[in-house]
Amino acid sequence: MTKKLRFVTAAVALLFCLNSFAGDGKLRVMSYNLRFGELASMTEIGSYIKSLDADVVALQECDWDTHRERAPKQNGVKFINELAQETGMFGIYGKTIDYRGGYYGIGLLSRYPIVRSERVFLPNIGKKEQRAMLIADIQLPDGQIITYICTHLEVSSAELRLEQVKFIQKKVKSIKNPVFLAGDMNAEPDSPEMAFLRKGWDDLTNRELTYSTMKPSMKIDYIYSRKGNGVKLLETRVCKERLLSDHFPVIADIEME
Amino acid sequence: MRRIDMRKVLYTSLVIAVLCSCGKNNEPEPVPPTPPATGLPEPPAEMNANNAFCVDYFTDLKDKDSYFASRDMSMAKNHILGEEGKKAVMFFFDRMDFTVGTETPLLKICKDNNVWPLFAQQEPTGKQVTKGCGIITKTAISDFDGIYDSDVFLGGADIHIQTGIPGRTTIYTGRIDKIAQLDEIFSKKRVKLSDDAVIVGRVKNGLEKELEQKVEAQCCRSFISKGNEGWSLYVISPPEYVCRSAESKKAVNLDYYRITIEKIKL
Repeated sequence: MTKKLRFVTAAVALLFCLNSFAGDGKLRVMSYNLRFGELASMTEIGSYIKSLDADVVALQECDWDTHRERAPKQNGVKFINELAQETGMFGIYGKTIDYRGGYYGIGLLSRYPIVRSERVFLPNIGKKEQRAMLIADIQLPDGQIITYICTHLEVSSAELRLEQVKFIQKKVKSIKNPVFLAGDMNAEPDSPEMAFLRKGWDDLTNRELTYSTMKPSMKIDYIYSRKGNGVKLLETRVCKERLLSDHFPVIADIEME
Repeated sequence: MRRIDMRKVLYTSLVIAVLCSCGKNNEPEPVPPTPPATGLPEPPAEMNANNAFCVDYFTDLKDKDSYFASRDMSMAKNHILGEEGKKAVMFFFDRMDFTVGTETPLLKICKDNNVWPLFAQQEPTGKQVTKGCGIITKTAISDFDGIYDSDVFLGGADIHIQTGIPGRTTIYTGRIDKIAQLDEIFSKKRVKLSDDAVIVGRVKNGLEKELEQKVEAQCCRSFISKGNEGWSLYVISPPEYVCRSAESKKAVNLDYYRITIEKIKL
């Protein structure tokens, strides 16, 4: 009888564990501006990202085979390949401009396979630096597809940023999956651009400052969840354990309904 | 007593005999089956090498283990960067399964090289391991396109291939183990498959004929290289492309097919 009871208890425990592994609907999402690797190696950054245990990571300021004087250790490095290797995640890259013999752009890491991805250029008025959004459809182990978008908005023109967020808003209209938008928005929470975004999106981050790591004075890094996604925010934080960039990474733990 | 007119009997017998002999051959001659009219023009008999490109598809057509479970991945790296690899525009590694949190062979091959890794899953996402096909391209990929549902997985990238006929080509890979999967593929990728997309992959033994028929009915071309250990290699292409060959090769202990596809002017 005792043996039977033990067996049943073990089976129930195992089923509980399996269930929590097989799709508990929880997801850790993250955004991190890498400052083109000026302050740390890809091994350090990769190991930090791995320690934060995120499922999906939006990355900004990623180089591919460039040769910068300000980051000589990163000469010839393909950031996304290195970080994917370090973290054991899938990686995709979205080139925004040609730069110093290689490319400069944004990227994305995912614990789960990326089944579709697309780089879309954002509006660019006045010959500013070309910006882009990198859209990835990711299939989670429970079969659900989420769309995770990484972006890095214009730095010097609020007017152009507003155009860019309007463009993003329009672009995602036809997407039926739960959609997330993460990145360095180069805009503070009370700016008109972020106020516009909040009409259609829920901010999954808090108001803690994310830039700069040396002298925090602004919050410009965000993770948004499109309204109606059916997402519950469990916890969010700015990760300040290590100073490997001029931005702190932001993380949100969410539960998908 | 009436006299029998022997001449009448003779004529009648002759007529009956002739009719009988004709009756024996009255069954219609077996007519060779006419292929359904698809309107697909025949490709030129001779290949124009200027308009051809190659992809290397690494597979043992067995689907038993992850491809690099018992193979040396440094050989793959040497192949891609070596003289042979220069001839291919894209590399596919069937069953280069992905395990979360580990260094994947795909990334090890790409590490320190100017090549781009992609992954086309072949089954629904696993919590730890996902079966799939590693894809390596030599140029930056802006868009990765695919189909994903519980049963059909197709993934591929759009690249520019330098041939005498300018334009971009999307090369997909997908595994067919049920013929109905092709309906889904043609339903979702009809436009691309009638224009500039090619699919390379493996099809389960026994489904090859049906694949050919279904593809022909969709006004596309197919090519099968028969395997006998569970799977065959297939290529599906629009009318403006034709697969000329799938040569079985080896790079040391790595089995692969060099698939030669030609863009044609119709």
